[in-house]
Amino acid sequence: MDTRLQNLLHDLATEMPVDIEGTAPRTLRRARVRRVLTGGAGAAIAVALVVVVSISALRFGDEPTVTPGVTGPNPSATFEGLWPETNPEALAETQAAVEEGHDPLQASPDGIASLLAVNVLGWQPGDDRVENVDVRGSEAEVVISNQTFADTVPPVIIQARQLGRTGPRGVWSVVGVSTPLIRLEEVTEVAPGTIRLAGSVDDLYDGAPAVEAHVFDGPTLDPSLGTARHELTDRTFAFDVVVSPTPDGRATLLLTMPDAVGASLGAVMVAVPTPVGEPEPPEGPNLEGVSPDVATTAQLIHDAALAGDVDALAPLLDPNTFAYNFDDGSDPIPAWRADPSVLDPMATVLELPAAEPRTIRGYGTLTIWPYLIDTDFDALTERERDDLKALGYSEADIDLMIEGGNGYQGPRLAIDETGLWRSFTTMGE
Amino acid sequence: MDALYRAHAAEALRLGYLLTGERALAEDLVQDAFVRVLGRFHDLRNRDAFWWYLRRTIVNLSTSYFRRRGVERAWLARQRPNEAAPAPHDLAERDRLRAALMTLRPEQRAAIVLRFYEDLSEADTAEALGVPLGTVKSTVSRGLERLRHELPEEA
Repeated sequence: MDTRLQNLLHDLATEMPVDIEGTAPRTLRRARVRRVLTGGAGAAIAVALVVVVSISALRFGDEPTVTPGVTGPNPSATFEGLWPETNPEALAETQAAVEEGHDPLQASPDGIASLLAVNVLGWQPGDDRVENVDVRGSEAEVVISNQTFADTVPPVIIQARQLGRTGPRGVWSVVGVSTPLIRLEEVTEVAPGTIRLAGSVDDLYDGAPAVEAHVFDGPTLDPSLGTARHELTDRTFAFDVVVSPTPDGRATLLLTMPDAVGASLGAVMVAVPTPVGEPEPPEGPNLEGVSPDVATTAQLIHDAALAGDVDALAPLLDPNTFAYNFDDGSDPIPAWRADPSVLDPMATVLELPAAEPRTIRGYGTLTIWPYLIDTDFDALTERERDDLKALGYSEADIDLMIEGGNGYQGPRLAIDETGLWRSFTTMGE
Repeated sequence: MDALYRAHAAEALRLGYLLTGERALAEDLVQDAFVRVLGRFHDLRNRDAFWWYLRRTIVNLSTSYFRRRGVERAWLARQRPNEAAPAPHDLAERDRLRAALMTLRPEQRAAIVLRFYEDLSEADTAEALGVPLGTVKSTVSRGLERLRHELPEEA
């Protein structure tokens, strides 16, 4: 097979037409633009951002005892959605999008189950297999398994519900996740902002020696309201999670059991109480040592990014020269409008210190965030590690950057000395 | 830059084609990879290893692309179960290989192509993919098993 496969692959590769003269000019032009704009910062290898999400599970049919304890859930927090919508406003936005023809997966129970598998459970697209879908009116139970797991790994059971509009175009939201793998028997608020989780797992799989808890409130685990990891020495667990306040005193808990590569062998998702209060105010941009014109633009970018206001970003850049990801010298606004998630790292990089300004011929003096572009990864400090984690990198990602020997691989943002925004690239996509 | 492009473009395009199975997509992906690596060439610690950097970028970009595209396609496929792809035995051997490669997960495909087209050792494949050696062994093994099923010797 090996020799035959080698021959076949070489034969197949010859099908690819190679027109170097035709493709070289545009490729080299783009490369030169990027080279100038990045000004020596960063590296060549795109390292896929690995979102390490974990796993968990409940004994199918059981519900954990959620004990309010000290603070207690806000009685007004009646919205049942756990993911991806956690409030009526978010549901209304999704419903509007579905009715305009977007997000078709959210209009079916197995579609929302597939989205959960990839975006929360960390499964590869297509690995999920729908074992059963039971729809009764606006309630549904979807049983999914991962085709790449051993047969001994039980399925994940997803409870979905149409919390607003019902019928074929109504949005389905996840209201519960469970699996026979993990029994979450107790969720107790033992002190304001501290939740104790207790239960057991049915098996200790190789490479899955821990359970992880993530508390969050929205479509992604980030921003996190609290995380904790418990190394399993036997099949029981009991550990605490410190949880940040939320306006409605309620958040979503994901308890997972990750395998060796971070995919969830199973998951439990339930609502948990949080202290009632406004979330901590978001950080502002880090403007230390930054000139006034640059600082003004940085503040405007940061505010607009936090607000998700793509239109407010448009006047800050020149679409004829702006560089972003794969398209240098073109208008990023339509792309950002289509995928506003890119605004999250935009705000985060600005909250870190900037690198020393650097002068680049033809482009003036650029201030580039974050300072990590100048960091020596062979001598990474704890603070630098923490800042990388703030950008969403896991320990494994950071180790990969170190091993790659190419330094910082993440998003970066540049403003010239006149206050003109010159670039925002998210390497490693 | 020009010399590097000319030296590696053909090999890069063929690798991209094997990883994606689509010519236009391979061209786009390889162009993005060149832009990234050439744009930061002066940052590379070992500039003699340009092909190593470029190959790893191509593999990562293709894997990332298929991951993003996969969720929706997998779901849509389930909605149209009767639209079957052509049976492998109806195709020429080269076409069967292309079809069989596309049945592999992106990581499996990358491992197989690096091992048997790029002729890398298991250790070098692991380094190129940025994964442990054991992962490469199991990934290649499963990929070969799948290919053997899709490409029986007598076919």
